[in-house]
Formats: sequence, structure tokens, C-alpha cells
Amino acid sequence: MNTEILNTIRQIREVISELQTELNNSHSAQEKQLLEKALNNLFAQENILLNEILQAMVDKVNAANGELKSLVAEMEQSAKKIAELSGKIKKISNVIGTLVEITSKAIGAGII
Amino acid sequence: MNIYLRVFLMCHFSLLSGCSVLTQNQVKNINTFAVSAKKYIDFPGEVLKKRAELHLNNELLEASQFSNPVEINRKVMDARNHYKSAIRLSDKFDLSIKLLQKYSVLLAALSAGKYEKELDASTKSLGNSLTEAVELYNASVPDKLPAVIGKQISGIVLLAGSRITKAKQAKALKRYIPAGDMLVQNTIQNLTEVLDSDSFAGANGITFPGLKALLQLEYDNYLANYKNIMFSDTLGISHGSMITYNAGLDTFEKVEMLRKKSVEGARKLLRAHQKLLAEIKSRKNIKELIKETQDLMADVQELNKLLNTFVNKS
Repeated sequence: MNTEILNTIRQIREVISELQTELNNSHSAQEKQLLEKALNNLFAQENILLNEILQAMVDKVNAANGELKSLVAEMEQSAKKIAELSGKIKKISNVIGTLVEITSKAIGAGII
Repeated sequence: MNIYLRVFLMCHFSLLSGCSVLTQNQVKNINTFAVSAKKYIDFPGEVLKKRAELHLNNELLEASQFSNPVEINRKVMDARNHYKSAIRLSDKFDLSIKLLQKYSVLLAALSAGKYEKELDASTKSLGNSLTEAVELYNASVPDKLPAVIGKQISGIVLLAGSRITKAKQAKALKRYIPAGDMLVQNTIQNLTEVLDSDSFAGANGITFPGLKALLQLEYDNYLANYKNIMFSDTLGISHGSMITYNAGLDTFEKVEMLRKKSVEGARKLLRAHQKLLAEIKSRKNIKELIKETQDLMADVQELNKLLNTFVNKS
């Protein structure tokens, strides 16, 4: 399906093609400059429309970015909390280990 | 002592039996999604960048027809500005894909077994300390403790710790994957619409041509430019120009292939997430339930062994 904006670009292109063919024919330097100026104006118009299309593409693809960012931030928090929990359990295990070591040394030394 | 110990161990038992963890299939699907997302990252923006390069090449070709220095310079400057702007937009085009990749990395992190491994190392060290303590204790008293008690106590710490961690991970994933599904679907559908359809509806309701149509337009312009500028030269066309022309045609083919691959990749990514969601939502099958029950029973047997050790000793 052709869109309005694409049809406009194609119409611009038709005129560009005609002017390019015309530029190949012999003309005075002044006429050539006018043709080149006209072509440049058409190219600039085409680029404006192309930029509009590219911007619309970016907006469309990034439409859900705000919600996606929030979800990712929430997930980062969860991952952090789980890592903290795992760290706490590890710490408990290490504390018990140290206590046992102290007790072992105390038994070895005949204190207990 | 026995009563307290029994209560303590029973609490552990009820805690462990209530922990639902991820199945191997679930973890496998999470990793498949994460790997697909990681591999996919550079494709879509790259197609846009290549289109910008093709457009710049077309514009320089158009400038080569001019003879007035002012107009030549204006054309080249316009071409450069448009190219820079298109490249900036290509970078923005990848933002959603980068977020999807971050999402997949977090899913993988939440399903990782690294916490269990860390706990295992820590509790092994605890087990060794306890074994040494038991040996010393046994050497000094007539009523000896079983030599394996150190390993058993460290086992409980590991068991409870890793089960709780895994259960927390499973709970988080069961929440985030369904929440992310709609966002993943929307993003990928929008992406494939832009990349693969002839047209798409913009935020303001205006219909715009898709990338497929835009590449076709660029290709048509390339052919028209060569016809109007190079092939119409009365002096004839050089071999070098023909080689350049042919290389340009090759580039168009490659960019079109890249576009198609990007669409294919996006669809694969969507399917991987849908499978992941179905897997997370599905009730566990008999085989998985048996495996989970077996694991839990093994854990409980370990607890019972320990309980009996203490009960027999007191």
C-alpha cells in the first residue's frame, strides 16, 4: 500500500528525473544553474520527508520503552535483593564456621 | 533440646516443601531467549545505517551531474547533514532492542545457579570446620558424636539457603515474564511492522512507508540516477563506472538480505518469549513433579538423619 508521504516522494522523484534529463541537454551556464538550483530544492524537500519517515519509525519502535524501562528497573531491584539474601545466608554460614573454629581451638587448648 | 530441635527441623521441612523452584525446561527457555536477544542486538539499527549510506551514495551521484560550484557544494552539504541525522536516528532505533536485551540478561541472572554455587563453597568450608571440631570433641569425651555431623549441619545451611534463594528467583521470574510479555510483544510487533510492512501507522495516525518500501525507493532512485546521469553520457561509460554500478547493486541485495534476517530474528525472539511464557505458566508435568519431589524427599531424608543423630545422642 502506498502512503501519502511515499506518493509525494515519488512525485518529487518524477520531476527530479525530468530535470536530470533536461540538464544533460545543452543549455547556457545560467540555465544550468537554474536547473541545478531547482534540483537541489527538490532534493532538500525529499530529505525533509525522509527524515519525517525515519523519525516516525524510531517513535513507533520505541513506543513501549517507558514501560519496559520501569520493568527492567524493578527486575534489577529484585536481582539485587536476591543477591543480598544469598549473601546473608553465606555470612551466617561463615559466622557459624568461625564460631566452630574458635570452639575447636578452645577444646584443643583444654579451655572447654 | 530434642523438642526444640524437632521444631527447628520441622520448620525447615515446611519451609522447604513450600518452595517452588524452576524446572530445567524453564531455565533452558530463559537462556534460549537471553542468547537470542543478545545475538539480535545490532541488526535493526544496522539496516537503517546501511540505508543512510545508500542514500548518501545516491546523493553524491546526483551532485556529480552538477557543474555550478555553489550548487555542488550545497548538494554535498545537504547530503552530509541528512546522513548525520539518519545515523543519529539509527542509534535511537536500537533503544528498544537494547532494553529487550537488558530484560533478557536480567531474566538469565534471575534464573542463574551462581548463588547456589557460592553457598556450596561457603558451606563446604563450614563442614570442614565442624568435622575438625567433632574430631576434637570426640577425642576428649567418651560419648562420641558421629563423625559426619559436621557435613550434615553444613548441608542444612546449604539446603535451606539454596532452596529459599531458588524459590525467590522462581517467584520473581513468574511475576516478571508475564508482565514483560505484553511489552516484548508490542515492541517486536512494532519493529516487524516498521521493518517488513509496506506501511505503518505513526503515533499521530499518519501512515508512513515501512523500511522495505524505503529501500525499494532508494533502489529505484539508484537505477534512475545511473540512467539519467552516467548512462546518458555521450562519451560512453567507463569500465570502472560499471564496476561501481555493479558493486552498488550488490550492496542493495545485501541490505535487503539484512532487513529480511532482522525480521526473521525479531520473530524468533518473539517466539522464544512466547515459549518461555507458556513454560512458566504451564503446570509442571509428572516427570518434573517426580524430580522435584525426589529432590525434596532427599532433602528431608538428610534432615531426618540429622534429627536421629541428635535424638539418639541426647
